[in-house]
Amino acid sequence: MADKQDRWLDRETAERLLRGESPENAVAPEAHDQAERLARTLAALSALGAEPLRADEELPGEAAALKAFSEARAARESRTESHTSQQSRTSHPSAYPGDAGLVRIGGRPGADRNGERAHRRWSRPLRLGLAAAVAAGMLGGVAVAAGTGVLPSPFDGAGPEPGASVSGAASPDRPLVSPSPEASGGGPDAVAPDGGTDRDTTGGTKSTDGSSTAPGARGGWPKGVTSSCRDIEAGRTLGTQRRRTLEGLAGGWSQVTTYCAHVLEGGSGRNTGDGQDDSDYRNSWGDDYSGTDRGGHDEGSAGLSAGPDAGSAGTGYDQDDDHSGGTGSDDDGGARNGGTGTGGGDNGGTGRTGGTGRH
Amino acid sequence: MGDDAELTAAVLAAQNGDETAFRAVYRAVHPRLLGYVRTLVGDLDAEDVASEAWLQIARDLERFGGDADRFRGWAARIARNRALDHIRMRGRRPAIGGDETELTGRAAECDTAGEAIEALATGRTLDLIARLPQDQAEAVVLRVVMGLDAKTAADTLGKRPGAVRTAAHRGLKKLAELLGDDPETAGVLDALPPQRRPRSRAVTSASVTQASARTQKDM
Repeated sequence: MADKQDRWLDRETAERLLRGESPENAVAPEAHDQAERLARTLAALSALGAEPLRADEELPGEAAALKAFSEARAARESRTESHTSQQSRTSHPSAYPGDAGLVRIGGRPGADRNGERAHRRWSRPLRLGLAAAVAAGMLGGVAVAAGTGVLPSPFDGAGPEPGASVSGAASPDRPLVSPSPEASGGGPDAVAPDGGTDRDTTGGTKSTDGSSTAPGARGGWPKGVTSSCRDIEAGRTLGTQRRRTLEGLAGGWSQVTTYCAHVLEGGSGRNTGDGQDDSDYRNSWGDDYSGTDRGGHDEGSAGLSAGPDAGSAGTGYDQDDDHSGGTGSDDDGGARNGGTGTGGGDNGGTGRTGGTGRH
Repeated sequence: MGDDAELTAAVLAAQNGDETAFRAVYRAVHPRLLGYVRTLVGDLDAEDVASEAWLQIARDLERFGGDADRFRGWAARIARNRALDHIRMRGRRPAIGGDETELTGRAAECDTAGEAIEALATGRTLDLIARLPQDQAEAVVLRVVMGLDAKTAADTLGKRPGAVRTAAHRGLKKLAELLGDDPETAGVLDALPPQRRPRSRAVTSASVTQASARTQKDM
């Protein structure tokens, strides 16, 4: 019996009913009543999902949902913002403390005249905290830098275009120096936050490299980079972090060979390399390093800020880097290498150095 | 399916941070979502569970990708998970299986005979649905209340479309059988207009809504 009864309800008819369509034409007359009843049942069920809405009437959970939405959006934007708003920050150094949660963590080692230890201690939280921002940082940072021309502003003010100046500048010192002032100024601070992120992005790894290396780079190349390049040249495989760092600096894996060639042959000659290498490098670098620079600054400034002020930091720098480029070195480092940027370490190093200098 | 196109666009805009668009999405999808949740946890807790689901939707919207139908399915899956959490936490049985007293009480409070009848019909219907095996009930509810197609419903349930189609088909057969055995329900249902019918809505933001069902007001 049951079979007979529901024979009318074949797959196709069921589909129609489920879609809210009328079964009429598809159903034999004798099954019409049954089909109708089933259709009404489904209509009643469907009415569950069709509570009336009035435009002027707020639904019970609506406000909460909207709040959650705008909070999520704000969170997303602040993630992005750190990269985007470099300029605005520059103009408002005061913003630094507020927005710099991440950065300050990294930089805070103001207490950290004991550079290394402090740095290491912080690198982990940084890495964790920034992990989320890494992808955004790398991509976003680059895109922003490229699109906005954010990078140039810090450096350019001083003078030459990063790329051009560098290349031309057999005397790296000049360019470097000029930037330094900015660094000491609001610039660094503003930059710092971003840098922090970027740095992280690049990786805790870098920071590691950097820390040891950073100060070292006498040529301006982060030490870690040089050794990574050597490893590559020697045919060794790099760990993920180192590889990424290098990629970031070079502006892509395909550029790494060229980049490393410059690093290894140029040594201190980074100038040469950079200067000449053109747009390709510059772009990627620019991006990166804009991030980097910021990072560098950040740390520097952070360290400083943690301490008293940028000013002192500036001093610190000068002393350190004098050979390479003194204060400028920061910027430069960042600029030329982007490497610096990448190498959180470098920055960290710088920051540290700054701190030390103060001492 | 202009409504679906609007919802798709609204979802996209919301993903780009447009709050007005998110509100439109909310208003378009919430009624169905709430109805679906009601079948899972009952009337009393449905609002809370649906609210929790929306919080998660708001947070995770960024990561969603797809059109209106997929969005409804995605929202339904989130709501379902929240409902299951809720049920586990409270140690309650799913409301598909219904709490008739609530529904009856609700019917008694309605002003018009039409609303009362519909509420009663809904209550009866839920009661009937509750007598289906769980997989059949869920398949039918996702299709009819959430308005999902078989494939999206399958995604929501983590099953294959064929399985969901079969479950829904069997669910309808079972329903037809139950209706045959239940003259009272049949009588109540006979008071209802025969077909769900798309109907344009006055609500602006809800224009996104896919209103394939009658509403109580329409009675």
